[in-house]
Amino acid sequence: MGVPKYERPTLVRHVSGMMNKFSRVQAMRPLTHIDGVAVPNLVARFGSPLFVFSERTLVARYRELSDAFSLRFPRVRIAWSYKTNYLDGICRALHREGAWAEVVSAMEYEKARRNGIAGERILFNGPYKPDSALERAFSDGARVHLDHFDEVMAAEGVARRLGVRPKVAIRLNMAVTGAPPWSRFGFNLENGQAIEAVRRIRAGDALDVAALHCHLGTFIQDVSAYREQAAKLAEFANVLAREFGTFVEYVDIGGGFASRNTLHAQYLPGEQVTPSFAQYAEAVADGMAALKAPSGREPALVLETGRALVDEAGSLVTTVHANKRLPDGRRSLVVDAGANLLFTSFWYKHDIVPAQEFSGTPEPTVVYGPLCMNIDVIRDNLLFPPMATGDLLVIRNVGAYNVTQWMQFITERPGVVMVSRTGDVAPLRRRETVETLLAQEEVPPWLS
Amino acid sequence: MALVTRSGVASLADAALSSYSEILFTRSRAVGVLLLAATLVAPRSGLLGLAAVLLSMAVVRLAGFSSFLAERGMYGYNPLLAGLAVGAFVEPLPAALLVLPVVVVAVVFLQTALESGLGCTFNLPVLSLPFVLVTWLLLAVLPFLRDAVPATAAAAEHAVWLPAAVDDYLRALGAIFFAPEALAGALVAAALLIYSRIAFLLSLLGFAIAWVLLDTTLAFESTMPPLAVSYNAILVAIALGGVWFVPQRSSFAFAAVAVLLTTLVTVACVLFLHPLRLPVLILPFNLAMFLVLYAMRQRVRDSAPKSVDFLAGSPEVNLNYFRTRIARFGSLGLPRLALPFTGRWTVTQGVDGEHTHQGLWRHALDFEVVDAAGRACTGDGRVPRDFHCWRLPVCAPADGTVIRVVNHVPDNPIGERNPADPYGNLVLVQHGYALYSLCCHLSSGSVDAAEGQFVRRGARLGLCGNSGRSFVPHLHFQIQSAPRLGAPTREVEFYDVVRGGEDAAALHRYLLPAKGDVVRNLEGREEVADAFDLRIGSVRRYRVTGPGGRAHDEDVTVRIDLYNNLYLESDGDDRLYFENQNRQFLAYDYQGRRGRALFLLYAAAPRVPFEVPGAVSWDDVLSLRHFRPRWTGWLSDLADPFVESHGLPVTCRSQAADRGLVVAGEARLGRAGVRTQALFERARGPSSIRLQTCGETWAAELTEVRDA
Repeated sequence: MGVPKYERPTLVRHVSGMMNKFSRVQAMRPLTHIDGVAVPNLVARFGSPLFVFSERTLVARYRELSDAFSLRFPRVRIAWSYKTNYLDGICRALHREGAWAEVVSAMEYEKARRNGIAGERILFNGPYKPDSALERAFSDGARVHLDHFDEVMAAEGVARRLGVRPKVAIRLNMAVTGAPPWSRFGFNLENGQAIEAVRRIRAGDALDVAALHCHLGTFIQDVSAYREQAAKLAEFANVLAREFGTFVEYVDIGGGFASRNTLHAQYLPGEQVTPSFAQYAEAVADGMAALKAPSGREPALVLETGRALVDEAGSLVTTVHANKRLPDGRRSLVVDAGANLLFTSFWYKHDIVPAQEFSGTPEPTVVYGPLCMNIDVIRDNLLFPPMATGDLLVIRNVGAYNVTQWMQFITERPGVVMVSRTGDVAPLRRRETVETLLAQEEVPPWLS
Repeated sequence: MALVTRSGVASLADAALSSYSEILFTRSRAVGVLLLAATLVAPRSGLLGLAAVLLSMAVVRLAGFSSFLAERGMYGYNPLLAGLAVGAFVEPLPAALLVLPVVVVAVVFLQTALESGLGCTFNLPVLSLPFVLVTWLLLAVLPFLRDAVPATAAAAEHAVWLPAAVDDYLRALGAIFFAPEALAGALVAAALLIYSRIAFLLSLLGFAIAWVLLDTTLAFESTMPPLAVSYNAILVAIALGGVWFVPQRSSFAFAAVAVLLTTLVTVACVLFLHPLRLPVLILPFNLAMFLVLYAMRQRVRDSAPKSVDFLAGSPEVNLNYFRTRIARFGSLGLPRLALPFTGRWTVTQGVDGEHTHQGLWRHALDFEVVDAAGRACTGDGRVPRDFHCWRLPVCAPADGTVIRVVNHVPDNPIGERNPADPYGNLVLVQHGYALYSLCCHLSSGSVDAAEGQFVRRGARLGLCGNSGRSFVPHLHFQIQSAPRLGAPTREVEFYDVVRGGEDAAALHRYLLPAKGDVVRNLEGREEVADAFDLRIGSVRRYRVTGPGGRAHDEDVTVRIDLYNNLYLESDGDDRLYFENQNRQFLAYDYQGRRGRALFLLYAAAPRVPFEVPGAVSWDDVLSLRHFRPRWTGWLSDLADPFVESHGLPVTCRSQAADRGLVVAGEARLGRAGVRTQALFERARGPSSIRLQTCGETWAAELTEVRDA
């Protein structure tokens, strides 16, 4: 203990007039514990790399979102976007708070049902819903969000065959400033396709349009896009009320709220520029003010927030495997978690911090993953203190999309654990082994 | 569905018996039978009374009066009394039979006329005034009838073997039915006891006062006036002490005072009527009741004694209903006010607050939004925009009419105030007579309610702001009894409020939030509401098992009555009124037998808020009446008016279940505990209910659901 830790010498070129080592303030702080649980203990118990989810953060974010919108709308329902992270433990933590489910495939639908969600509380999105999926959804009373005219046809066929009259939503796409047009999903509002779809569904007399849905896009940092979207949805709902006497049950504004990550192309850090839930809520409320509904027929507001809810709850703990000096003078680290686990490293400048106290002068550093592939870069440039092999790093805000988009590539996938609100730790998904892999494989008889 | 068919004879008998029991303010069959027996102690008048009742029913039908009222004996008790009077006053029998129809017709017509006149003009009941007036008419005409002889109302001999006081009491009771004899009185007393122990006690009170007065201060020449003093006193004591007012200490005291007043009236009546040779009958009771009821309705505060402003039953029922109502729904008698916003707000100044909620304006509340970090604003809060509550919607707390709007006052910079317009922008809504709610300090130009507009609870009135006497953005809310600004505030309570942060949230049936309380309205989650979607006409069959393995099947039907009240009805007469519209399932008092499916439902889920399962806990109060053994029930009935009891408090929690939710309840009953558990399933409703107490278990399992 008394012996000071060895600190490697660092050569830093002094550039006169520029920022230099003598004026820099050390801003990085180690993250030694996650919700009170020591990171090395987690690794000792569950191995490295390891995804760690904080239930406390997850629930806090959910409540922050719910509170922010509930202050402005009497009925707010949050439908958990399964594709963002459909580990049962994550879904159940949110369902316990009252979240509905938003699914985009038959598989996700099945998961939601098994998590105890009633059909009526599942919103079924996506451009691909085979007849079998529609059958399952309609017989449960699930809310199918229709995406295209062929799907209207298919849905009508299924409904007639089952002898039910399902309530459906139609998905709209629209032009708003601040978000790129996602015209491939749903019916276009501006060119009249959307109202045409409503007329078509009414003429078909097999389905009831009971809700509107629009998902603008992803990682939208400009809240005014939501103001415009909400206003257009409100106006469309007014048209439905005026022309057809249809009062929709809910207006689903989709998801797309930015998390506190920083995009590659972004100059300021996400923590500073990402709008708060309250700011999004205010914009949506401004837009929705245009909606006219008689007392008692006001639609609920549905949110399909995924990323902004779960991103901050997830961390990836990884171990430094090697230090390396690159020819251009930069230092590099080889860690045991790579792009196979962090799909989001292609989008974000991930926030990486050491999991133990450190010293020494930060240097420009590249963080490489373990894969024997050139693309396996976690961060291509960050100022990072010197690390020793075996040191632990925590990559923060990785809760969204990674444990659904990760690849079983080159190596097995690691374990996922959750730290409960009382500090208990339990696995959400066991570390894969070779057996996991082989369980699905077959060897043709002529090769065995 | 089995149609209930009843023979005409049975319903006729019921209506006839109701005519008897109605004199004691009830429709109980047993009471009717006993009273009939009491009248038959004087056989002649008893039979003539019965004949008058039957005759009056024929008259009501022929003349086309309300059969609804007739079935309830409302047209029968005056003819009954008049018939008894004919029997008592007219000799010989043929003459009596001759005048009887005329008397009955006169009574029915007079009753109808008076009911409309007195009822519409003064909102007073007719009581037995028609009987009194027609009997006088009869007595006035009698001397001119050729064959008729006025009988001298014979006071029967004293029953020597009874103590004088008891004998006098019984004779007074009998005298109400023109049979002033101990035997008749005993039958009436028995009827009174069956009907209500409290009423019996009140009759003793009334009699005791009259008896003491007669003994000490009054002197009459004949025997009838003392009897009249006694029975009028008894009737007044019962009517005011337990029927028109909730039986409590105050109502007993009030009844005692009213008995003194009645005695005065009786003596005065004797003075005026004696020269005319007319008996006072129960005129003093009628006069005293009119006087007292009308006067008491002019009170500003209806309490101690509290008038029965609900559908009255026996005094026991009235008391139980009233106490349960206070325990479950508060005592302020306000409409069910909701918090005037959506989402979770924090009280920053409560009633009797340190800043401005003082003096005439003490009953007011300030609300702001405070975040998880305990702050009301972001950043340094130097502009109104920084405050979380800035421009959040402010909503109507209940249905009402907007009667005043101010929308032009500019919002203040932080830390400044506007003394010229202390209320700033505001919306004043009238919710009822002398009941106004005021939301103020709204943001300039944000008010979208218009004067004269009718708004529903939860409708947006405007946006929270910083206008008027407001340093930082907040919402000021108060209830007042006058429509002008600056009117004194009055007490306020909000209904169905969830208080506390997410992890310790509790539902309060009614609440006056205090400073620092975090409060919100009920959510009304669809997924929970689905489990309480009880369609009218649908039938559920339950297998009910009791201790010792006794089991029976019950069909429970969802019904709606004439007044739009929903109720569940089981095969027999068990009923459970409920509502499921206001973001919760709410069971009202249970009427029926113990150990039945509806009894179990009532005990296990007197209330279930439509909240995310597990999110909130709540408590409620069950009526103790259903949990007492019968024999102690009668004893405690006598003590109840004088002992403050608040029913059986239960604490409940819910938890998500596979196809719905489970509600678990716990109550302490004496030393024993009552534990309940009920499963509510989507689309099926209450599907499994269990109640455990004293080591015994009752259970009801849903076996079949049939939709209408």
